[in-house]
Amino acid sequence: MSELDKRIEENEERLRLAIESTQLGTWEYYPLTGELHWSPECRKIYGLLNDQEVDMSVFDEHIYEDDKQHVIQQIEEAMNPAGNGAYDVIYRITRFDDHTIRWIHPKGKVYFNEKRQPERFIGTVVDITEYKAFEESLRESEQRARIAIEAAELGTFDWDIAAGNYYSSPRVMEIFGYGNQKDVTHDDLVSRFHPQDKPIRDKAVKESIDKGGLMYEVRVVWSDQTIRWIKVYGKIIPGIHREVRRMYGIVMDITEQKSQEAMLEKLVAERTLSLMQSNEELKKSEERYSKMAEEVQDYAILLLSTEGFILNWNKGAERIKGYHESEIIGKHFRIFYLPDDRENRLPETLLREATETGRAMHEGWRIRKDSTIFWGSIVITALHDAENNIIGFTKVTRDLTERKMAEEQLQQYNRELEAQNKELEQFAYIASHDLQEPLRKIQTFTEILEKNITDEPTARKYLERITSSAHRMSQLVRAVLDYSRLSVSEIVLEPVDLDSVLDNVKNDLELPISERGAEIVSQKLPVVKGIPIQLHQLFLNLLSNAIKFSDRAPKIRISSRSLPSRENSQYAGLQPGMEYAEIIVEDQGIGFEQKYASRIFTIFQRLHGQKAYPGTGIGLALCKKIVDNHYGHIHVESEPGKGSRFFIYLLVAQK
Amino acid sequence: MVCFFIDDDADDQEIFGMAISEVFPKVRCLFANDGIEAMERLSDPTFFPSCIFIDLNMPRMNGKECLVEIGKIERLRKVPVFIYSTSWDHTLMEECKELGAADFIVKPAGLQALTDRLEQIIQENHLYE
Repeated sequence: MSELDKRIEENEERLRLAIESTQLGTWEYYPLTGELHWSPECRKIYGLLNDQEVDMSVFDEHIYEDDKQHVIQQIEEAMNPAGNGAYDVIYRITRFDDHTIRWIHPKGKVYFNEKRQPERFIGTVVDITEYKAFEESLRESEQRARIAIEAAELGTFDWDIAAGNYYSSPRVMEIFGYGNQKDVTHDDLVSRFHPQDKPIRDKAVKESIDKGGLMYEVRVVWSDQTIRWIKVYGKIIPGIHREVRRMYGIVMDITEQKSQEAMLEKLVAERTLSLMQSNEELKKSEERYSKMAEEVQDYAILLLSTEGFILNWNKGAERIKGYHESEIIGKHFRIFYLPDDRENRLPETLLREATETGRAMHEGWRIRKDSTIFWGSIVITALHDAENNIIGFTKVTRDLTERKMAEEQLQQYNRELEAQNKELEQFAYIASHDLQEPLRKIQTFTEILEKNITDEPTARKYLERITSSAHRMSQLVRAVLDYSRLSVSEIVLEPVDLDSVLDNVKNDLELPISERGAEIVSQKLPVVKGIPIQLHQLFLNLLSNAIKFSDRAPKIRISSRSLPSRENSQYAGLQPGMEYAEIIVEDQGIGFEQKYASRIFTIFQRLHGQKAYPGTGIGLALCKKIVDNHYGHIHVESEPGKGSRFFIYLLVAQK
Repeated sequence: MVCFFIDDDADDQEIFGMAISEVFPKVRCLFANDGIEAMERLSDPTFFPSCIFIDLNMPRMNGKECLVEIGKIERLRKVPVFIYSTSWDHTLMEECKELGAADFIVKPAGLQALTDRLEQIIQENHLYE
């Protein structure tokens, strides 16, 4: 082997190594002999073992059916002596070993002999399946992008500033108002930007170098003065001097979106404004309301928790109930109720009623801080949240003491008027009956006397009867006068010591007491509010009755106790909330059946015959009238043969 | 003839006795001081008065109550009961008649007036000795 040959061999070897490292297969074909050689790399591409023989039939066989015709045609063309012998084709093969389809790219050249016969056909081959797949996916994604761009009605542009090329899609022309006009330059497009918005675009372009991206929204003005909003997204390729070399991206028409946005913005702004206004109004009205509630003087307006604890307090509440805000917040509202009402759980009952029906109303006596009472008219209203749960109560209280007093005064007047009417009737009755009775007797006895005028003893007897009737007449007239005197309307009560009243009465009754051997025992009696002379009359009548209606030596006991104010309501005529004394006058006399207990206080009602117990029938009616005049009450318990017990209730004088 | 007179007033008992004797000299007049006493007397089945006179205004049991009680006694159903009172109240008179009173006598002033009234009553009710 010559030195040259050696060097050629060496070079060939290097070339082979270089080719192998690039995964490039090589092949040689001798058309005249039909000889075919494939390099190992070439065999690898075809999936052919190294020791397997190859010839043209093997070559034909592996060409993918669809591409066969094309390949054969290309080979024929290369081997055409008229041509230049170049061969460059891309096609598919079916690999021998795993029968997969691969894309290959052979490149070769045909050498001709002197007779212009193709003598040698050599070349390289490379497996481009991966590249093909990449290319395919690229093509697909490009297609997808194009479809997306078209569907979204996006315009695309590509401005290669360095090269001075500007491309934009037909959609860009539409967006800029050029329709399908041709030969529209970049300057033409720029001229359509709204003059006021140009700086926005310039600024965006300038900043895009740092950001690497371009984004701006501007208006464009069409030739018919229509204004459209556009949005541009793009990429920037900067040059070494931070200049924009190339700019490409998309353009979209956002006019509709903008107008919707604008409308939405307008709506939101309007809503926000009206919300703010109503919020403000609400706040104002809340303020006004709380200010109002706070300042109201005539009503106590409170907020109660669900359990009835006081949460707030206004001036009216302070005025009516006397507590300062600081000492009442957090307390239970039962504090305003009388002990009796508290015991009967009236506050709780009212809350329950408000819970069940939404509202509870009540009128009654309530206590102030200073223990005085007032007549309160209250309304408790349940407060609900959005889910209709009770979250508390409002309680509005009015002090109607004056009205109540006026009402009571009116009732009192009514009662007085009724009583006076009744008395008038009784007076008529007296005139027709009781006062007539002695008169009738006088007339009758006079007649009998006349008949017996000559019979002196008989005449004298009837004269005496006439005198006695006349005496009774005058007694009755005096009693009626006493009774009528009690009806004087102006009543001024002053403190009266009942002990001294009793002493005076005992003095007046000294004679009957000693005659009947009466024993009067009394406890210490209170000082009451009264009219001295009337109270004297009251005890005089009661004691003289006790002495009179007894069949043995009278034993009389007088006792007293202070009446618990809650018992006031048990007795007709007592003033609520006032302090009363109960005085009991008890005898062991003849008594009477309890069923006559109310009758005995009526004028001229007598339970006993005139003969056994003489009297006018006015004494106890007088007692009743006196007690009524004192805003008091009198009643009696009695049992025949055991005695009677008179209960008198009088106002206690404050020390 | 037996006459039963119920009145708490002793004077009236005497006056009535005198008057009825004028009309019926042989009359036997029995007295009670009030309704309770009268009812006790009438509970005796052998006591059978020809006529009964009741005062209205009496303690314990008054005239009207007494009238009702007498009405309950079967034995006395045909015995006329007269109300004898100072009252001349028409509604009261009507009330008493409804409760079973045969007539209503207003206590007159004077003995002769009473005698005359009693004679009239007796004729009207055919009460003869």
